[in-house]
Amino acid sequence: MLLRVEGISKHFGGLKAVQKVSLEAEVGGIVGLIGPNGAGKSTFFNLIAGFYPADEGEILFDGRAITRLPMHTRARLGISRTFQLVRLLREMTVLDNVMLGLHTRTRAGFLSSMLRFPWVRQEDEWTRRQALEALAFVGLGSLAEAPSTVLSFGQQRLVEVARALAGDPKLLLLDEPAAGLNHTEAGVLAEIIRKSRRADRAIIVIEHNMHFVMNLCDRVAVLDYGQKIADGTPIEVQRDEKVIAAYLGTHRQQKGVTP
Amino acid sequence: MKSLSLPRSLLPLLQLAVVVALLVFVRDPYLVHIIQQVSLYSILALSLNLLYGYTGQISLGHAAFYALGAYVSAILETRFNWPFPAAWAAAVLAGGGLALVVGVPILRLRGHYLAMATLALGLIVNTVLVEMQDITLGYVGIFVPTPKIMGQALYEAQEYLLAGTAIVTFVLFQNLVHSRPGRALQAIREDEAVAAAAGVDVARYKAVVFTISAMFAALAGVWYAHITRMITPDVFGLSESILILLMVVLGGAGSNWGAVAGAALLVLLPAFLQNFSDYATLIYAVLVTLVLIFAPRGLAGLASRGFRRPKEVPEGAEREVARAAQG
Repeated sequence: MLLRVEGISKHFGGLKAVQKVSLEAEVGGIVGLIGPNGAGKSTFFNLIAGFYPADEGEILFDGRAITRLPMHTRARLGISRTFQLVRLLREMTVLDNVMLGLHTRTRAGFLSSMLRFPWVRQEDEWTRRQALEALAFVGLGSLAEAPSTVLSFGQQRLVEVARALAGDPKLLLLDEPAAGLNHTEAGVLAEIIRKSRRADRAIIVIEHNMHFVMNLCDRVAVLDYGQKIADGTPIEVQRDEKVIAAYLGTHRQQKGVTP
Repeated sequence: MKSLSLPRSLLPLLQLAVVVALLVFVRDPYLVHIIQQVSLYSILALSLNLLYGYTGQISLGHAAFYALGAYVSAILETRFNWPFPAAWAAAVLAGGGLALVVGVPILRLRGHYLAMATLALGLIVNTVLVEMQDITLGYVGIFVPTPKIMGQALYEAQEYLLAGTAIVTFVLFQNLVHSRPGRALQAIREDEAVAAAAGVDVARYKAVVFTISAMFAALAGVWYAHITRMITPDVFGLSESILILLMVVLGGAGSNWGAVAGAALLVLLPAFLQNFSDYATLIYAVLVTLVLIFAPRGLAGLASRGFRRPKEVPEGAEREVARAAQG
């Protein structure tokens, strides 16, 4: 098992954003993580990526406890992520943004870069080629030199995916990648995610859009009010009563609208 | 700079040729003085620009490292009879050492807090220079001997060495910002979370860049001490830190060319304003305000707007996305 999350929790003051959630992700698969707004999906992602520490529980990656490692170390171990609100570096070109994604796969330091040794030049050339390849993979090869600010929202999202993929991650975390995309763009994105499935990589996708997840994922876990309420194949999850209740809000109706 | 249609590596050589030619053929003391000042402030502005312009970490105390370079080299040479090259190296290391020690805690701060902490650092170093009269001689100042390298006194050679140092600094920094660590620094400036998610050790990178920046400021201090031959604490006060920051901002933060242009502008401006020295501050203030309003990216921003237009999205990009959708 590549990723094994064991009962992690995160509280913000009185708000229990994530409560004892466990999840496993195996290489070669795509796991969907769904749930209503505020269910704790992004918080859960941030815990895996190391954006903030978990209050309790354990995260095992590749058989190693990473629960207390800082974000950049986890990235170095092979965890890449995208952000819910696209976060491109606005002052940099599209290509530079993707080249940043290769940081963990390259070595050049301050001194060697200032002196621009021949091997540094070669490494930079290699980085550039890899980044161009990643951009071509998401279909934006022709936009490499464009400033990242001129891209449409959908294109920015793809650049972010390219940046995450350029790091050749073992675990790819996609936080609501289809949010704000139109139907065509979401289709493109789903295809790209399918293409990036590999025998040595696990992918976890947070998504709001049920349809998007059900067609893409092998397994789906459902969060509601910070707790995992279901975990199974898309079909199983779709039939689960607790999931239906969470999504259609029956239990909330029962509480609120008593005749 | 590709738009200038000159290989990037050739430009510094061209600059070097121009400076050497000026120094050799025009032995006008005033011009020599101006070239020295521009070189000196270019090193300072480049070093602060690396920290502020590229990494987004403000410093209002950069003169502290400038002072440290000047004083450490001067004291080692006059009191301990260290040879110039050894004192030179020790001064640069001292600047880097101080930055490393104070940088680790200070760089956890952001925005106004970092500004205040660096401001305090500048004031503390300045106060130490004034008060520790046993070592620094306070306002009396230290008289610095002519530097010697292998028994050979450097008189005019200093001018070439200083100009050379400035150009080498420019080349090193230009290489750095167009590299893996350079991209990481800019990522830190734009969004620390994105940088960390990409595997950049943000705290370490900030500490390293602060140290490099301080070492080059100290290097400028060494040259300053040996060219003016007399150092007093008042030269390295808050106003000096702000002057360096102004050069970076006016020139265009985040551009090495801008830093040099800013240094040249603020060295030359007082020379042009000699006859209106009463109004110099007013003219400065108006100029800075105008730049901040009309050219927030400084001289470098103005230049790049003139030389190259922002690239449009190539036509058909939308179609390409749609094509990818169909497989």
